[in-house]
Amino acid sequence: MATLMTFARYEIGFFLTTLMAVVAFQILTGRINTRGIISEKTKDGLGGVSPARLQLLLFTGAFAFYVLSQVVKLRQFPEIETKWLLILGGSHSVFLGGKGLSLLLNQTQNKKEA
Amino acid sequence: MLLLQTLPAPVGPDPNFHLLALVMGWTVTVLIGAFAIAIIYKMIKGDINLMYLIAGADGDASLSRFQFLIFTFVIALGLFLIILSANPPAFPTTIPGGILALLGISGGSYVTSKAVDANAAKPPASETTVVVPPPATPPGPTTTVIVPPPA
Repeated sequence: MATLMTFARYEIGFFLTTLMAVVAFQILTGRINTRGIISEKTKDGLGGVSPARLQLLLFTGAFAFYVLSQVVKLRQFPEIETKWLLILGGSHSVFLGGKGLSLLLNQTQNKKEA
Repeated sequence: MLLLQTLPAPVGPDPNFHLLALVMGWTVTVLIGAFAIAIIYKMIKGDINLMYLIAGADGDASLSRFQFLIFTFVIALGLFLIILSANPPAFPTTIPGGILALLGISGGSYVTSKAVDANAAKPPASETTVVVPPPATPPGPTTTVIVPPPA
């Protein structure tokens, strides 16, 4: 039974790490499309870099790194303080607000042109 | 007169059950392993196309999908590490509310973003064509056909 548990442990570990490695590799080599991930999306296509998207990407990366590093260090999920959750929620709100505003502006412009 | 009460002999663990559990465990483990290898192989070969893994409806990369992917991977990997670190391996007794809130914010943001994209894809009201069905024609005068009986 111990051998089975060890085998299952390595199997799941192999699957998870290989899956993430494949996805990361394909993102870096362009096989997974990342075009326009931090670009402003307008009705005419992609615009310049969007600050709202950039800040969300940076916060996401920082939080993900923090959670993972704490799990490796403490061997348990960390207690995330409310203020950090509020910051993350605020970051998402800024991104979604910008997206909604962009949609509204595009629709207003379409009505004017029509 | 002495009443001899014989206690039932203690029942030990059934070795056949242990063998059955072992066989089933190995079967399931090998099967899951085979699926895992097949999935990884197909992803590397390209049969499972990940080109639009984080793409939105317009084909361009979606940041909400990307951040959802990142947090899903982080939580899954973290959970796996925590389960392995226990001896024997066990699911954690508590998952902090902050982690659940983190997943909720990530998922909620993804869903909201999809709703915004769906709304953007809808044509504006001025371009909507309303089709009015023609009025039903009133029935005309009835015609009676008299068929003579066969001779």
